[in-house]
Amino acid sequence: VAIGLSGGFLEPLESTSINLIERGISQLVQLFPSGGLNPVLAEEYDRYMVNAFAGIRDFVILHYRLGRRTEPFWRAMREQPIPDSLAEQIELFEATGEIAIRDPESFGEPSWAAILFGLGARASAHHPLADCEPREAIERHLARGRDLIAQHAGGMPPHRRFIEHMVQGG
Amino acid sequence: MNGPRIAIVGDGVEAWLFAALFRQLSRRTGTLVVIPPPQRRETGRIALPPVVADIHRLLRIAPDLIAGFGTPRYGIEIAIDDGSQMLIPYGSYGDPDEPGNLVNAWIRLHSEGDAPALAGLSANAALAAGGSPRPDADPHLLRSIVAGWDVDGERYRATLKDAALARGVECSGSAFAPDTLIDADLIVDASEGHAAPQSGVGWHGRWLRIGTAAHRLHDAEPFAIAAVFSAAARLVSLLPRPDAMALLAREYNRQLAIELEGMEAASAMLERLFGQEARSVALDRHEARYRIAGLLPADPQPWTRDMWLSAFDAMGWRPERYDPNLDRFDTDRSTRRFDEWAALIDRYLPGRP
Repeated sequence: VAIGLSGGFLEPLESTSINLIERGISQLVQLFPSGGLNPVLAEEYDRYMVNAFAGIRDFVILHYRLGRRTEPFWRAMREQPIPDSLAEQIELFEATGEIAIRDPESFGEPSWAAILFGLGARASAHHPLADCEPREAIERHLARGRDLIAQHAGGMPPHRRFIEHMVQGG
Repeated sequence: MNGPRIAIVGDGVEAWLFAALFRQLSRRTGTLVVIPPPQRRETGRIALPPVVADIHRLLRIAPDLIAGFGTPRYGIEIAIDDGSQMLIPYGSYGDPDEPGNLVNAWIRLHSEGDAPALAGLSANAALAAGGSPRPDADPHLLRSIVAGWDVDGERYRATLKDAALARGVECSGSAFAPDTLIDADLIVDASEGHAAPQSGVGWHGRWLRIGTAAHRLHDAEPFAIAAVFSAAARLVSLLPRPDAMALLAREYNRQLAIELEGMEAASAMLERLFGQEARSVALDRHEARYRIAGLLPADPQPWTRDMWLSAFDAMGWRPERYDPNLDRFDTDRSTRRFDEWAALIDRYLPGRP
């Protein structure tokens, strides 16, 4: 059984290898052939891991599809064909603001939204129920979230200091 | 905002259930009109799955009201050829809120040929056999009990209709006819087969088929009622918008296909328990996973792991092995937990024959 980079490589725009190793180990333990090798165990392992790779594949390709960098490499990658599932995801988001979650065990809605919005995708519509809330209430809610994050982040040490602290056994 | 204009063709339990739920979940946005079909069959007694407890909470329908014309259903009853009854109980083996699942421990003991009978570990099975909970019943035991209902269909329909009308659902004065022009963004076929427009399962164009109009599965378990609930929730999350209908329909149908695969596997399981042939690729996969690796279905499906275990055990399937993670636990401890749980059932659910 191939696990980690031996099993497949998804380039490191998002560092998903560790997650895939963990998921591979977890499946292998559950399906471990303690009673003898049986092809059903291998098929089940492969079925699960293929789905896991496919979900992450779409998320990684999204970075290239929507990336705005102009160097030849990025332009060429933007022109590559994309999986139907990703094309449908982008189309759905741009038309409605909805995000389809196909692999609930990997990237969730906040991650997809961060990349879609972060790379400039724009939803031309939003969920109609959002209109049931007064605009001021939505803005107050978002401002509260921003304040909370700023408050917590402000009290945290810089990343380098945190790592140094960990290295020193803190 | 104006919100979508939705018409529902139907006048039975499924139509009014969908209308009330959709109206509640969508915060009464848009308009919802129920158009009755030209004729409607009287609904006799109908079975409701455990998920109706959530539905009733959502619609603020008190259990006492349902108890006035219904009786609790503690599982799926299957008549065997020799005249006896088999029960696939709802609810859980052990307290669902406690860490350390009795189901996994049971699979381990069963694969080693030393597990207690499952029926003695189900509070639901005890209730179905005539037990009644003592007033001081242990809360762990009570948490394991889950019930559906067996109700008078006409009175249940009237209750749902009241709930829908109270939420602003309108009722058309004229009956549906195939050449009726319906002024709506989306027409939901909840006619239970009485209107039957020519469209496939799910959402196609302006038509959405739900409940038994979309998929008739095994009568022993009311899958269609659960499917009406998920259809209402799914449609609210993908609320129709005129300029994106095709995209929303595609996503609706993608999610529906996943749900249907699970329901069809469970339905095929029931067919096989009734001694009939039933083909299902998903069920074949569930069977192989259980027999060879001691694993229960983990994909989205209408049954809990506990119900699948009951069904597999009723088929006489024994796993060849179990999840090796369970080797961390001592089998004597598992046996003690089973004994303690069975004793709780005996103590607090007396009255069984």
